[in-house]
Amino acid sequence: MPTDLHFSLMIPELVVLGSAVLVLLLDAVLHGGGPRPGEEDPRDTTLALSVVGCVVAAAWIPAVLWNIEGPRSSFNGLFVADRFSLFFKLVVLVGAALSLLLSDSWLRRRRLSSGAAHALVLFATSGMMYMVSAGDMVTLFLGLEVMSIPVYCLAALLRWEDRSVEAGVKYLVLGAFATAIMLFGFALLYGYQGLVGGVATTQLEPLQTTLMANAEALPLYARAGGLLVLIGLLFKISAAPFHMWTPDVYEGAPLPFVAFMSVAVKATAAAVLLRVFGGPLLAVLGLDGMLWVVAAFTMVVGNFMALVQDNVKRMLAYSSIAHGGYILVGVLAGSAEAQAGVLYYALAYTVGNVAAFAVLVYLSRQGHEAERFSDLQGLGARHPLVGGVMVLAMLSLTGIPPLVGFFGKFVIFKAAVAQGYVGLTILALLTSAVSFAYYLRPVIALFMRPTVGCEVAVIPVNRRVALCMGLTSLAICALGVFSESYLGWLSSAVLALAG
Amino acid sequence: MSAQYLPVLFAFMGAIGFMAVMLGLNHLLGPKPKAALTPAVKFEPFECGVPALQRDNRRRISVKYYLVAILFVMFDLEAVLLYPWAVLYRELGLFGLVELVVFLISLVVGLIYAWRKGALEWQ
Repeated sequence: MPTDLHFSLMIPELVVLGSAVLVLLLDAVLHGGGPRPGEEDPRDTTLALSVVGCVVAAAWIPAVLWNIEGPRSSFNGLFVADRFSLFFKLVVLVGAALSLLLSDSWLRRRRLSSGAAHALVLFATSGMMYMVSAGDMVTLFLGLEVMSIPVYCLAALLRWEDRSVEAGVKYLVLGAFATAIMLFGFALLYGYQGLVGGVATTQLEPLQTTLMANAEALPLYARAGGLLVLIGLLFKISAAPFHMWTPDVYEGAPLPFVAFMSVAVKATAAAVLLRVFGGPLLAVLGLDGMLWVVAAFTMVVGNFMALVQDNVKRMLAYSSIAHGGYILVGVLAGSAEAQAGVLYYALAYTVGNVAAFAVLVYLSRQGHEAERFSDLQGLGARHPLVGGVMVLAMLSLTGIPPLVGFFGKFVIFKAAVAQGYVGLTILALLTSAVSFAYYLRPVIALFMRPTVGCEVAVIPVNRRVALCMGLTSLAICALGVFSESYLGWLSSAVLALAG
Repeated sequence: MSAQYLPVLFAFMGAIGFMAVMLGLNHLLGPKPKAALTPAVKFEPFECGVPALQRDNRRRISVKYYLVAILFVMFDLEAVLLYPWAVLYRELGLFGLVELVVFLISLVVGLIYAWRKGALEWQ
């Protein structure tokens, strides 16, 4: 019997997994054989169960944290529960819970059985939580698969709609390809560790130690392994030139789940980038130059391509690419402040982006998807509060003080300048200025354009989406205003990563 | 270092050798009907499924087969895990039992879902 088992460290994961299984069973028992008329709708039950699962898991995270005397890693280093991973778990759980709230009315309108969708979100969330806690390449890979496969299914949820199926298939094929590339990189690094490090282990820490110790004479295949792993992660964070799938997938996939994959997958990929390549390892592997180019290219492509979209979902897809670029600047800078900035940025991007998607979900109604800018026209005057949330979200994503998005960018850029990446920071600032132009477009469409068409459809008040909008707007303001108080905590979380 | 993999090599060689011996024996000892005198049905596969290697293999197959195949993979994996577990049962003890029960429960959940959603109904 293995000795190093601390199941208490992964209670949040187990709660999420358990609620996913319960949701699946409940859906099968109550709703087996497809929806029948006049039957009790299990949606409320499965929705409540999934959201409660996320909330309980998130509430347990401080409990894991306070158990400070206990061990921080478990299963012989396969699973690490440090402050760094717990923070990202919190971000992922927030993203999951909010998109679950969003998905409800959307699924209801399409008469889709929701249990499967809710269970898929929870399974993907558990995969993400294992990924950010991975202290080992095997855990990392397993988490990656547990995260990716449900997300592919979510993209293709509307399986009778061509665009949704296209999104799912595209995501599946390209995602599997990227995963294979990453796995090849893992294999090379494992071989290197076995040959040079003496002990053949898949754990990340010994591998990083071996790489750092032999920084002078790294063989080509070790560098290639690092490069392949980096490419796999860059695909997940949708950095240019590995971004091609993003706009198509986001355009075709169901709206609430686009919110989920844009924020949660990106945060997870950022966490893994920091965990695997954090600190000076990038320079040791000789990959910092490449990441510089990728970050610059990502910011330019994301921001400039977003300018010319007329579909809000595609615009947000390119904006998410651009935000991936800012995160890469933080990863590249590599100092403790920069990494704390990445953590902060992941949270800032999550609340800002979910707020934007919440507005789109709110304004969509039967037979009228709020997809193009023209679909939003004139709706701000009729729903000033909803429009106000959109304004907040867009300003936060642009990075206007005192909203949370500003501090995210500020911390990352400051740290990047301190590390000598002045050129890249100037480019980031210029492209952020460009982003202002396209973030204003939904606001202009909402408030400064007349309503098109004569239909004055009344949008029914949706409490769950309204709750989601309220929470995210509160977070956008409060996290920005009170940023000082927990930036220090984030830095200590990063120091926990270092040692 | 590679000596520990020798049994794998032997297993491969054994498998290939067995195939070669069986096919060779069949070739040597089996009856050889004269093509002109035997009815065509004798050349068709006997109780071995559909004729292989035909000109046009791109027929449509009912999607139900895929569902069954996927469900089969699930229980196939279960069997794959059960064998090594049964061999090591005494060493793993209670821990192994709990691990296996957790694994089986997760499979049963999948089965219940498939069953309730009508995946097992053949119509």
